[in-house]
Amino acid sequence: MLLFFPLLSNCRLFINSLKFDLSQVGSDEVTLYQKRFDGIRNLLPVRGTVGYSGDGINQAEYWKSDASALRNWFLAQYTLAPVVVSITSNHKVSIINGGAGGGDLDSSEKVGSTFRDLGNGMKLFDFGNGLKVVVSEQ
Amino acid sequence: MMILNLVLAVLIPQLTAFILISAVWPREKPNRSHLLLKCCLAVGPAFGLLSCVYFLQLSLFGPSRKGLAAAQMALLICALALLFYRLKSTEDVPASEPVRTVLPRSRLQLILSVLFVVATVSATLVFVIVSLKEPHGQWDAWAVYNMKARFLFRAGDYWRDLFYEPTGWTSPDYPLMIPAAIAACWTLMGHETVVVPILVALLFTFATIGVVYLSVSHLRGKSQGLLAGLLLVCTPFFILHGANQYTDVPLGFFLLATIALLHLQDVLPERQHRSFQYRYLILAGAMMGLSTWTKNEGVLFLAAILASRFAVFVPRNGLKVYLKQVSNVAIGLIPVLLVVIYFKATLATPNRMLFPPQGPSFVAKLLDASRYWITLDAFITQGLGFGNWAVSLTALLLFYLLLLGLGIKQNERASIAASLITLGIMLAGYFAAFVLSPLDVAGHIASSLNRVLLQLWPSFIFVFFLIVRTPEQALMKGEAVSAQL
Repeated sequence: MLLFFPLLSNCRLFINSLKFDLSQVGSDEVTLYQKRFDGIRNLLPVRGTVGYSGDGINQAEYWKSDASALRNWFLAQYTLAPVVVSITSNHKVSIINGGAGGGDLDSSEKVGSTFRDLGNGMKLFDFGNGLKVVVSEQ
Repeated sequence: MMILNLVLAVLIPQLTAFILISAVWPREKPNRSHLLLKCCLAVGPAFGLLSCVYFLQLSLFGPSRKGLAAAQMALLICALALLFYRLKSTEDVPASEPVRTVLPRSRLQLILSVLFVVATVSATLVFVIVSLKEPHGQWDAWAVYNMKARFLFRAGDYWRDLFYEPTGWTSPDYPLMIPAAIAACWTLMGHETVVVPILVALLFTFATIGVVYLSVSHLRGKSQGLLAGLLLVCTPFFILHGANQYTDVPLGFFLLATIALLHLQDVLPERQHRSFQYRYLILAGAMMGLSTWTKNEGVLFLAAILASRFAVFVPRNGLKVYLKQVSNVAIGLIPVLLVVIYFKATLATPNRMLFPPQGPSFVAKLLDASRYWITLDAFITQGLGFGNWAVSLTALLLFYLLLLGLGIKQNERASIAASLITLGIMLAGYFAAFVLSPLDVAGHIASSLNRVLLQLWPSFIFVFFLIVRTPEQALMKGEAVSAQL
């Protein structure tokens, strides 16, 4: 029995793993998620801290946020390291990570994005894939 | 070129660690199983040493690929010089080599060998497929360890920014062994690739299986070693979790390596204790130190080992012998511990589990009986269902023990008792950590208990197969084989 059940578990694990379609290599969730951020890298500093907000993030007590919101935030940090992606406020550059949506009104074309002047030296860049970046020039 | 760089980045530290272990290893006749055991044991110290050197280089001189490569070559040369010195020295050659009777390979052993090879190949394929499916690993891997590795590698002179995240979610108090080892390999290669964390996880996972198989084989015979190895390689959760790139498997490696090396030391006859100068203890000390550099739980393990061996060996051998042993452990332990202390003193923030910014007070948690019941219930439930097996593994092992009976050797009783006490202290420590958790207890248990049990699983298998009779002993029902072993 000590041989049978371990080997059975081993076989079961092996058979389950064979269900994976090898054509999906490189299309895993994290790799695809990271590609969303390709467009915003040029707007971010090489190092330092940028702000972050997203649907479901509890900024006062982040540990009470939705699991999916935390996942999105941590994936943003994983993708953008060594830039520190913080949910604290008052940063010159802030990322808004929401659901996928269209561009904004009255916008001028940038490479892969639209932008809008919010006044007071603030500009909003919308990448159309749920990612927006607010840049403050003050 | 990339493959060559990868091989060099991983192989040179492995070679250095293997040579260092060989230089410290007690001298015996050339033995293939010892050679393989040293190869498996070298995996942890290789990445440990690499990460320590990389971290110190970053801290003291800043990042430099050439500097790190030169340091690796210097270490390799030093290791070779040490080995050469050991080979020339005759101080610790025993008067007569220990006599080990080589039993003819039985049919059972042959069957077990075939099954072990098949299961290992199958587990390796599973590991590779899971890694292809999720090359960045699972949550903690990309959110904490691989993220930190990226930070260390990409940030250049500003790598300390990693510790400035205001909310502290990146767990800046976690030791840097795995992130620094990955970042060091990337630095040596000159670029970043997900292959490195996958390779680190693969080596730790299968080296742990190797240490279980080879050390039990050495102490109890090949059949018993194969059974122990089979049990670990056929634990689905162990393989999957290894492929998920969490640090529980590397920590489990260091816990197992420490306990196995202590057993190897304890079973040496007294004469060899003197002539070998407790050499296994030096290696065990290094493994203990590296466990504290891998995860904070390593500190608990260090305290558990010292306390359990004090409780068992001081009444038996006296305080003087215990202190002599501890001084040898310290030779391997202290250099790594100094790195950990330096990290904790200069960069790490206070541990959020010990000094939580939120949640009920310490006393309120301590006096809350419901927390104990929730935790106890989870320990029993998850303990019985541990490992993602087809049946309850705990029940199966208990049945196996009852069927075959105890087979503890006289000269190993103290060592086994100390190991069991160590594992007991670890379990008690984890229990207390859940009870006093600043997080929601049930949620914390759901996300962590199976992982911390996995840290102890290889060590538990090792000790279990030293306690239970071997298949040969059970089949022959005689004393002849036990005397030969």
